[in-house]
Amino acid sequence: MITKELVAASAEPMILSLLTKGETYGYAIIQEIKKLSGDKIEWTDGMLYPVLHRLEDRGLIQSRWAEAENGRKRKYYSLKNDGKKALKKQREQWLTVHDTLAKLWEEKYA
Amino acid sequence: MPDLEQRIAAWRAEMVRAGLSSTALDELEAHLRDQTSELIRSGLSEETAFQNATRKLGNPAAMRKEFEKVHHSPRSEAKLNIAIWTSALLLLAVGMAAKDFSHDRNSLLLFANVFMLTAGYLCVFLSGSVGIIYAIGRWTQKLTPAKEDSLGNAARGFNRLAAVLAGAGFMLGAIWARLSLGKFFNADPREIGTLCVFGWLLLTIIMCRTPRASLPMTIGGSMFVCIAWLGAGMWSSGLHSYGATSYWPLEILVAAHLLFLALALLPVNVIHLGKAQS
Repeated sequence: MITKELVAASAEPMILSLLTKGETYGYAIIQEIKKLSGDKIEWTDGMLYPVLHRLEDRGLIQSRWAEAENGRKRKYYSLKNDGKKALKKQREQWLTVHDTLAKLWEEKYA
Repeated sequence: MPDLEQRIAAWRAEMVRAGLSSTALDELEAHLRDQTSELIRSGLSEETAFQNATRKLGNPAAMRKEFEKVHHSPRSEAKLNIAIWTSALLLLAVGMAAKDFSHDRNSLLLFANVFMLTAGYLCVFLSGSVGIIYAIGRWTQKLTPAKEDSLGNAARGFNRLAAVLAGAGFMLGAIWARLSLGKFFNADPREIGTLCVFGWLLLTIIMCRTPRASLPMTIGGSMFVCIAWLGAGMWSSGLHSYGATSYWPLEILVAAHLLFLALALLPVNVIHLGKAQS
Protein backbone atom coordinates (compact mmCIF):
# COMPACT_ATOMS: atom_id res chain seq x y z
CA MET A 1 0.00 0.00 0.00
CA ILE A 2 1.47 3.34 -1.06
CA THR A 3 1.41 5.96 1.71
CA LYS A 4 -0.86 8.96 1.17
CA GLU A 5 2.14 11.32 1.38
CA LEU A 6 3.80 9.54 -1.53
CA VAL A 7 0.52 9.43 -3.46
CA ALA A 8 0.10 13.19 -2.94
CA ALA A 9 3.70 13.96 -3.94
CA SER A 10 3.55 11.87 -7.10
CA ALA A 11 0.10 13.01 -8.27
CA GLU A 12 1.29 16.10 -10.10
CA PRO A 13 4.08 14.49 -12.20
CA MET A 14 1.76 11.55 -12.98
CA ILE A 15 -1.02 13.85 -14.20
CA LEU A 16 1.36 15.98 -16.26
CA SER A 17 2.98 12.85 -17.74
CA LEU A 18 -0.40 11.39 -18.71
CA LEU A 19 -1.37 14.63 -20.41
CA THR A 20 1.72 14.43 -22.65
CA LYS A 21 -0.13 11.56 -24.39
CA GLY A 22 -2.98 13.89 -25.29
CA GLU A 23 -6.14 15.52 -24.00
CA THR A 24 -8.06 13.53 -21.42
CA TYR A 25 -10.56 13.83 -18.57
CA GLY A 26 -10.60 13.16 -14.84
CA TYR A 27 -12.20 9.74 -14.78
CA ALA A 28 -9.91 8.44 -17.51
CA ILE A 29 -6.86 9.79 -15.61
CA ILE A 30 -7.80 7.79 -12.51
CA GLN A 31 -8.48 4.61 -14.49
CA GLU A 32 -5.15 4.91 -16.35
CA ILE A 33 -3.14 5.41 -13.16
CA LYS A 34 -4.87 2.42 -11.57
CA LYS A 35 -4.08 0.27 -14.63
CA LEU A 36 -0.44 1.38 -14.95
CA SER A 37 0.24 0.75 -11.25
CA GLY A 38 -1.39 -2.68 -11.31
CA ASP A 39 -4.11 -1.43 -8.93
CA LYS A 40 -1.46 -0.48 -6.35
CA ILE A 41 -2.17 3.24 -6.65
CA GLU A 42 -5.78 4.19 -6.05
CA TRP A 43 -6.58 7.84 -5.68
CA THR A 44 -9.65 9.11 -3.85
CA ASP A 45 -11.60 10.07 -6.96
CA GLY A 46 -12.92 13.42 -5.78
CA MET A 47 -9.48 14.62 -4.63
CA LEU A 48 -8.13 14.52 -8.18
CA TYR A 49 -10.18 17.54 -9.21
CA PRO A 50 -8.74 20.11 -6.76
CA VAL A 51 -5.30 19.02 -8.02
CA LEU A 52 -6.40 19.56 -11.62
CA HIS A 53 -7.82 22.99 -10.72
CA ARG A 54 -4.59 23.91 -8.97
CA LEU A 55 -2.54 22.91 -12.02
CA GLU A 56 -4.86 24.97 -14.20
CA ASP A 57 -4.59 27.97 -11.87
CA ARG A 58 -0.80 27.73 -12.09
CA GLY A 59 -1.04 27.80 -15.87
CA LEU A 60 0.40 24.31 -16.40
CA ILE A 61 -2.72 22.79 -17.96
CA GLN A 62 -5.88 24.09 -19.64
CA SER A 63 -9.40 22.77 -19.85
CA ARG A 64 -12.45 22.86 -22.06
CA TRP A 65 -15.95 21.49 -21.81
CA ALA A 66 -16.98 19.22 -24.67
CA GLU A 67 -19.70 16.71 -25.40
CA ALA A 68 -18.84 13.15 -24.43
CA GLU A 69 -19.92 9.99 -26.27
CA ASN A 70 -22.88 9.68 -23.88
CA GLY A 71 -24.14 13.10 -24.99
CA ARG A 72 -23.30 14.75 -21.67
CA LYS A 73 -20.81 17.55 -21.01
CA ARG A 74 -17.38 16.50 -19.88
CA LYS A 75 -14.30 18.56 -18.98
CA TYR A 76 -11.13 17.74 -20.88
CA TYR A 77 -7.64 18.74 -19.82
CA SER A 78 -4.53 19.26 -21.92
CA LEU A 79 -0.93 20.21 -21.23
CA LYS A 80 0.37 23.74 -21.81
CA ASN A 81 3.95 24.72 -22.65
CA ASP A 82 4.59 25.77 -19.06
CA GLY A 83 3.31 22.36 -18.00
CA LYS A 84 5.83 20.64 -20.28
CA LYS A 85 8.63 22.69 -18.75
CA ALA A 86 7.43 21.94 -15.21
CA LEU A 87 7.19 18.23 -16.04
CA LYS A 88 10.76 18.21 -17.37
CA LYS A 89 12.02 19.65 -14.05
CA GLN A 90 9.95 17.24 -11.97
CA ARG A 91 11.13 14.29 -14.08
CA GLU A 92 14.76 15.22 -13.40
CA GLN A 93 14.05 15.42 -9.67
CA TRP A 94 12.23 12.09 -9.51
CA LEU A 95 14.92 10.33 -11.56
CA THR A 96 17.58 11.71 -9.18
CA VAL A 97 15.66 10.29 -6.21
CA HIS A 98 15.07 7.00 -8.03
CA ASP A 99 18.72 6.59 -9.09
CA THR A 100 19.98 7.31 -5.57
CA LEU A 101 17.60 4.86 -3.94
CA ALA A 102 18.36 2.24 -6.60
CA LYS A 103 22.08 2.49 -5.85
CA LEU A 104 21.50 2.32 -2.08
CA TRP A 105 19.30 -0.74 -2.35
CA GLU A 106 21.59 -2.43 -4.87
CA GLU A 107 24.46 -1.96 -2.45
CA LYS A 108 22.40 -3.22 0.47
CA TYR A 109 20.93 -6.23 -1.30
CA ALA A 110 23.86 -7.15 -3.58
CA MET B 1 -37.81 3.71 -6.13
CA PRO B 2 -35.83 6.74 -7.28
CA ASP B 3 -34.15 6.47 -10.67
CA LEU B 4 -30.54 7.45 -11.40
CA GLU B 5 -31.40 11.05 -12.33
CA GLN B 6 -33.29 11.51 -9.06
CA ARG B 7 -30.40 10.00 -7.11
CA ILE B 8 -27.93 12.31 -8.83
CA ALA B 9 -30.17 15.34 -8.16
CA ALA B 10 -30.38 14.39 -4.45
CA TRP B 11 -26.60 13.83 -4.30
CA ARG B 12 -26.02 17.22 -5.92
CA ALA B 13 -28.30 18.98 -3.42
CA GLU B 14 -26.37 17.31 -0.59
CA MET B 15 -23.05 18.45 -2.06
CA VAL B 16 -24.33 22.05 -2.36
CA ARG B 17 -25.27 21.92 1.35
CA ALA B 18 -21.74 20.65 2.06
CA GLY B 19 -20.46 23.85 0.43
CA LEU B 20 -19.17 22.63 -2.92
CA SER B 21 -19.42 25.11 -5.79
CA SER B 22 -21.53 24.42 -8.86
CA THR B 23 -18.46 24.48 -11.13
CA ALA B 24 -16.80 21.74 -9.05
CA LEU B 25 -20.06 19.80 -8.95
CA ASP B 26 -20.47 19.85 -12.74
CA GLU B 27 -17.17 18.02 -13.03
CA LEU B 28 -17.78 15.67 -10.11
CA GLU B 29 -21.19 14.77 -11.53
CA ALA B 30 -19.64 13.84 -14.88
CA HIS B 31 -17.17 11.64 -12.99
CA LEU B 32 -19.95 10.07 -10.92
CA ARG B 33 -21.91 9.22 -14.07
CA ASP B 34 -18.85 7.62 -15.72
CA GLN B 35 -18.06 5.57 -12.61
CA THR B 36 -21.68 4.48 -12.12
CA SER B 37 -21.97 3.41 -15.79
CA GLU B 38 -18.83 1.30 -15.52
CA LEU B 39 -19.98 -0.40 -12.33
CA ILE B 40 -23.36 -1.17 -13.93
CA ARG B 41 -21.52 -2.68 -16.93
CA SER B 42 -19.54 -4.85 -14.50
CA GLY B 43 -22.81 -6.38 -13.29
CA LEU B 44 -23.91 -4.28 -10.31
CA SER B 45 -27.44 -2.98 -9.93
CA GLU B 46 -28.01 0.73 -10.59
CA GLU B 47 -28.55 1.42 -6.87
CA THR B 48 -25.40 -0.42 -5.72
CA ALA B 49 -23.31 1.04 -8.55
CA PHE B 50 -24.41 4.58 -7.61
CA GLN B 51 -23.70 4.03 -3.91
CA ASN B 52 -20.25 2.61 -4.65
CA ALA B 53 -19.48 5.47 -7.03
CA THR B 54 -20.45 8.16 -4.48
CA ARG B 55 -18.36 6.39 -1.83
CA LYS B 56 -15.35 6.34 -4.15
CA LEU B 57 -15.68 10.09 -4.71
CA GLY B 58 -14.76 10.64 -1.08
CA ASN B 59 -15.68 12.91 1.78
CA PRO B 60 -17.45 16.14 0.65
CA ALA B 61 -15.97 18.23 3.49
CA ALA B 62 -12.42 17.15 2.59
CA MET B 63 -13.08 17.94 -1.09
CA ARG B 64 -14.49 21.36 -0.21
CA LYS B 65 -11.37 22.18 1.86
CA GLU B 66 -9.09 21.22 -1.03
CA PHE B 67 -11.09 23.28 -3.52
CA GLU B 68 -11.02 26.26 -1.13
CA LYS B 69 -7.22 26.03 -0.90
CA VAL B 70 -7.07 26.38 -4.69
CA HIS B 71 -9.39 29.41 -4.82
CA HIS B 72 -8.18 31.24 -1.70
CA SER B 73 -4.53 31.59 -2.48
CA PRO B 74 -2.16 33.73 -0.36
CA ARG B 75 -2.24 36.38 -3.13
CA SER B 76 -6.00 36.84 -2.94
CA GLU B 77 -5.86 36.91 0.88
CA ALA B 78 -3.26 39.68 0.65
CA LYS B 79 -5.52 41.69 -1.69
CA LEU B 80 -8.41 41.30 0.76
CA ASN B 81 -6.23 42.53 3.63
CA ILE B 82 -5.17 45.58 1.59
CA ALA B 83 -8.82 46.34 0.79
CA ILE B 84 -9.86 46.05 4.45
CA TRP B 85 -7.03 48.27 5.75
CA THR B 86 -7.61 50.86 3.00
CA SER B 87 -11.30 50.97 3.90
CA ALA B 88 -10.52 51.31 7.60
CA LEU B 89 -8.12 54.21 6.92
CA LEU B 90 -10.70 55.92 4.70
CA LEU B 91 -13.34 55.58 7.40
CA LEU B 92 -10.94 57.04 9.94
CA ALA B 93 -10.23 60.00 7.64
CA VAL B 94 -13.95 60.57 7.13
CA GLY B 95 -14.59 60.29 10.85
CA MET B 96 -11.99 62.95 11.55
CA ALA B 97 -13.56 65.22 8.91
CA ALA B 98 -17.01 64.60 10.39
CA LYS B 99 -15.98 65.98 13.78
CA ASP B 100 -16.68 69.41 12.26
CA PHE B 101 -20.33 68.46 12.45
CA SER B 102 -20.13 67.34 16.06
CA HIS B 103 -21.57 70.56 17.43
CA ASP B 104 -24.85 69.80 15.66
CA ARG B 105 -26.15 66.27 16.28
CA ASN B 106 -28.68 66.46 13.45
CA SER B 107 -26.05 67.47 10.91
CA LEU B 108 -23.80 64.64 12.09
CA LEU B 109 -26.62 62.14 11.70
CA LEU B 110 -27.41 63.43 8.22
CA PHE B 111 -23.75 63.30 7.25
CA ALA B 112 -23.44 59.73 8.52
CA ASN B 113 -26.67 58.72 6.74
CA VAL B 114 -25.51 60.20 3.41
CA PHE B 115 -22.03 58.72 3.78
CA MET B 116 -23.25 55.21 4.64
CA LEU B 117 -25.83 55.15 1.84
CA THR B 118 -23.38 56.53 -0.72
CA ALA B 119 -20.75 53.96 0.31
CA GLY B 120 -23.37 51.19 0.27
CA TYR B 121 -24.64 52.15 -3.18
CA LEU B 122 -21.07 52.32 -4.48
CA CYS B 123 -20.50 48.79 -3.18
CA VAL B 124 -23.62 47.66 -5.04
CA PHE B 125 -22.28 49.26 -8.22
CA LEU B 126 -18.96 47.46 -7.64
CA SER B 127 -20.68 44.12 -7.21
CA GLY B 128 -22.85 44.90 -10.24
CA SER B 129 -19.68 45.59 -12.26
CA VAL B 130 -18.39 42.16 -11.25
CA GLY B 131 -21.71 40.68 -12.42
CA ILE B 132 -21.38 42.52 -15.75
CA ILE B 133 -17.83 41.16 -16.19
CA TYR B 134 -19.27 37.67 -15.62
CA ALA B 135 -22.05 38.29 -18.18
CA ILE B 136 -19.56 39.52 -20.80
CA GLY B 137 -17.25 36.61 -19.99
CA ARG B 138 -20.09 34.14 -20.70
CA TRP B 139 -20.71 35.76 -24.05
CA THR B 140 -17.04 35.83 -25.07
CA GLN B 141 -16.40 32.34 -23.58
CA LYS B 142 -13.29 33.63 -21.84
CA LEU B 143 -14.19 32.59 -18.32
CA THR B 144 -12.60 29.60 -16.59
CA PRO B 145 -14.42 27.99 -13.65
CA ALA B 146 -11.70 29.35 -11.34
CA LYS B 147 -12.34 32.91 -12.58
CA GLU B 148 -16.10 32.46 -12.21
CA ASP B 149 -15.65 31.42 -8.59
CA SER B 150 -13.30 34.40 -7.96
CA LEU B 151 -15.85 36.79 -9.45
CA GLY B 152 -18.60 35.19 -7.36
CA ASN B 153 -16.55 35.55 -4.16
CA ALA B 154 -15.82 39.22 -4.93
CA ALA B 155 -19.50 39.90 -5.66
CA ARG B 156 -20.57 38.21 -2.43
CA GLY B 157 -18.10 40.28 -0.41
CA PHE B 158 -19.31 43.57 -1.94
CA ASN B 159 -22.96 42.55 -1.44
CA ARG B 160 -22.46 41.84 2.26
CA LEU B 161 -20.63 45.12 2.83
CA ALA B 162 -23.31 46.98 0.86
CA ALA B 163 -26.07 45.39 2.96
CA VAL B 164 -24.40 46.50 6.20
CA LEU B 165 -23.79 50.05 4.92
CA ALA B 166 -27.24 50.48 3.35
CA GLY B 167 -28.99 49.07 6.42
CA ALA B 168 -26.99 51.27 8.80
CA GLY B 169 -27.49 54.32 6.53
CA PHE B 170 -31.24 53.76 6.39
CA MET B 171 -31.47 53.53 10.19
CA LEU B 172 -29.43 56.70 10.66
CA GLY B 173 -31.62 58.45 8.11
CA ALA B 174 -34.73 57.31 9.97
CA ILE B 175 -33.39 58.68 13.26
CA TRP B 176 -32.53 62.00 11.56
CA ALA B 177 -36.02 62.15 10.02
CA ARG B 178 -37.59 61.55 13.44
CA LEU B 179 -35.56 64.37 14.99
CA SER B 180 -35.91 66.81 12.09
CA LEU B 181 -39.25 66.00 10.47
CA GLY B 182 -41.13 64.32 13.31
CA LYS B 183 -41.49 60.87 11.66
CA PHE B 184 -39.10 57.94 11.21
CA PHE B 185 -40.40 57.17 7.74
CA ASN B 186 -41.87 59.74 5.35
CA ALA B 187 -42.41 57.49 2.30
CA ASP B 188 -39.99 59.65 0.33
CA PRO B 189 -39.08 57.94 -3.00
CA ARG B 190 -35.44 57.80 -1.90
CA GLU B 191 -36.39 56.09 1.38
CA ILE B 192 -38.54 53.58 -0.48
CA GLY B 193 -35.70 53.05 -2.95
CA THR B 194 -33.22 52.37 -0.14
CA LEU B 195 -35.60 49.84 1.44
CA CYS B 196 -35.95 48.07 -1.93
CA VAL B 197 -32.19 47.95 -2.44
CA PHE B 198 -31.64 46.65 1.10
CA GLY B 199 -34.35 44.02 0.59
CA TRP B 200 -32.77 42.90 -2.69
CA LEU B 201 -29.34 42.63 -1.02
CA LEU B 202 -30.78 40.51 1.80
CA LEU B 203 -32.56 38.29 -0.73
CA THR B 204 -29.31 37.81 -2.64
CA ILE B 205 -27.39 36.91 0.52
CA ILE B 206 -30.04 34.48 1.79
CA MET B 207 -30.99 32.78 -1.49
CA CYS B 208 -27.65 32.48 -3.25
CA ARG B 209 -25.90 29.47 -1.68
CA THR B 210 -22.91 29.55 -4.00
CA PRO B 211 -20.76 32.53 -5.07
CA ARG B 212 -21.58 32.04 -8.75
CA ALA B 213 -25.32 32.10 -8.12
CA SER B 214 -25.09 35.66 -6.77
CA LEU B 215 -23.54 37.07 -9.98
CA PRO B 216 -26.75 37.65 -11.97
CA MET B 217 -28.41 39.03 -8.81
CA THR B 218 -25.70 41.70 -8.49
CA ILE B 219 -26.67 43.07 -11.91
CA GLY B 220 -30.24 43.32 -10.63
CA GLY B 221 -28.97 45.09 -7.49
CA SER B 222 -27.03 47.62 -9.54
CA MET B 223 -30.16 48.29 -11.64
CA PHE B 224 -32.25 48.86 -8.49
CA VAL B 225 -29.67 51.34 -7.17
CA CYS B 226 -29.87 53.27 -10.46
CA ILE B 227 -33.65 53.44 -10.06
CA ALA B 228 -33.49 54.20 -6.31
CA TRP B 229 -30.79 56.85 -6.62
CA LEU B 230 -31.32 58.55 -9.96
CA GLY B 231 -34.91 57.59 -10.59
CA ALA B 232 -36.19 58.62 -7.18
CA GLY B 233 -34.53 62.00 -7.62
CA MET B 234 -36.06 62.36 -11.06
CA TRP B 235 -39.55 61.32 -9.99
CA SER B 236 -39.88 63.06 -6.66
CA SER B 237 -40.89 66.61 -6.00
CA GLY B 238 -39.86 66.80 -2.39
CA LEU B 239 -36.63 66.75 -0.46
CA HIS B 240 -34.55 64.78 -2.97
CA SER B 241 -35.97 66.11 -6.19
CA TYR B 242 -33.67 66.87 -9.12
CA GLY B 243 -36.42 68.57 -11.06
CA ALA B 244 -35.62 66.50 -14.14
CA THR B 245 -38.05 66.61 -17.06
CA SER B 246 -36.84 63.61 -19.06
CA TYR B 247 -35.83 60.15 -18.00
CA TRP B 248 -33.76 58.92 -20.94
CA PRO B 249 -30.46 58.53 -18.97
CA LEU B 250 -32.24 56.22 -16.53
CA GLU B 251 -33.98 54.36 -19.36
CA ILE B 252 -30.64 53.71 -21.05
CA LEU B 253 -29.08 52.50 -17.80
CA VAL B 254 -31.98 50.12 -17.09
CA ALA B 255 -31.94 48.77 -20.66
CA ALA B 256 -28.19 48.13 -20.45
CA HIS B 257 -28.64 46.29 -17.15
CA LEU B 258 -31.42 44.15 -18.61
CA LEU B 259 -29.17 43.21 -21.52
CA PHE B 260 -26.36 42.15 -19.19
CA LEU B 261 -28.86 40.26 -17.04
CA ALA B 262 -29.96 38.31 -20.11
CA LEU B 263 -26.32 37.48 -20.93
CA ALA B 264 -25.82 36.28 -17.35
CA LEU B 265 -28.96 34.14 -17.20
CA LEU B 266 -29.69 32.74 -20.65
CA PRO B 267 -28.32 29.28 -21.48
CA VAL B 268 -24.91 29.52 -23.14
CA ASN B 269 -26.08 27.85 -26.36
CA VAL B 270 -28.80 30.50 -26.74
CA ILE B 271 -26.30 33.33 -26.19
CA HIS B 272 -24.04 31.88 -28.89
CA LEU B 273 -26.86 31.13 -31.32
CA GLY B 274 -26.15 34.27 -33.30
CA LYS B 275 -22.43 33.46 -33.42
CA ALA B 276 -23.03 29.89 -34.59
CA GLN B 277 -25.39 30.95 -37.36
CA SER B 278 -23.00 33.61 -38.64
